[in-house]
Amino acid sequence: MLIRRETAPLFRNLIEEMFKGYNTDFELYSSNRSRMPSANIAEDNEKFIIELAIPGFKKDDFELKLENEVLTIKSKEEIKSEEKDENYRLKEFSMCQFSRSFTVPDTIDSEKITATYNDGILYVELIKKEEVEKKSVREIQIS
Amino acid sequence: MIVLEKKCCPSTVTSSRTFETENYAKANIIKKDDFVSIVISAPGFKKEQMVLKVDHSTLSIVGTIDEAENKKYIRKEFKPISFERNFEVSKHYDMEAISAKFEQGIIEITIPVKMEIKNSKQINIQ
Repeated sequence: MLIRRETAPLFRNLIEEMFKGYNTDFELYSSNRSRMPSANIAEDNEKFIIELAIPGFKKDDFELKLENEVLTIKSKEEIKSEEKDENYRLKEFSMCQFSRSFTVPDTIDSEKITATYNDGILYVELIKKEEVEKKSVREIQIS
Repeated sequence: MIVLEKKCCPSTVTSSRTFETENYAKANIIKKDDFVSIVISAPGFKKEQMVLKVDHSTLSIVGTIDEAENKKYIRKEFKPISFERNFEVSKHYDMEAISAKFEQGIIEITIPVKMEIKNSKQINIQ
């Protein structure tokens, strides 16, 4: 009797799992009480793209760090927080310190991570490693 | 009352857009001694996609963006969409001297206090 064994793990959204930068991870990786900006994650054959909505900054205001497969994007300490004595008549958003972390899968080439800041969105590109070429089928001659 | 938000009328904007407007283009209004500043957060927009209109005491900010999305998203928490926000500005402020600057998705509109009002204040102190 042939028993078929399921070798692949139950399919959860593995990508989601890898990119969780949400509540629990945030707790772990963020040492200060900072805001967590909204992020979009896109994927194509060659790369993942993280888009972080952080308008109103200059590109020198943030730092990106990859440490032990965790990518952390955060604003630098020197940014002065909003003055408390500002007389706000309406306040729907704030531009203050932020931090967000993402777990990066090992299919990403960590040497090839780039980031650009345009129109208030930080685009982080994570290039996927080239797949190890599958060995071509060899015909073996029987002597 | 310095600046009052004026809800755009439903006939000019579709209902779905009105709902999304409230969720997307967030605004701050800061009052200083000499001016009032309206700051709108609109990441993903370019300067050419924003239009500012002044009609008497009404300030209107319209941002238009193409909805076409080429990328395949596996997680989506924000989406730049077209919006419109209107503000009613009190006569205390000089709408003729309005100025705006747009940088990295933030539009900052500055409206100074009318000169007569500023000068009259100075006279009183003397």
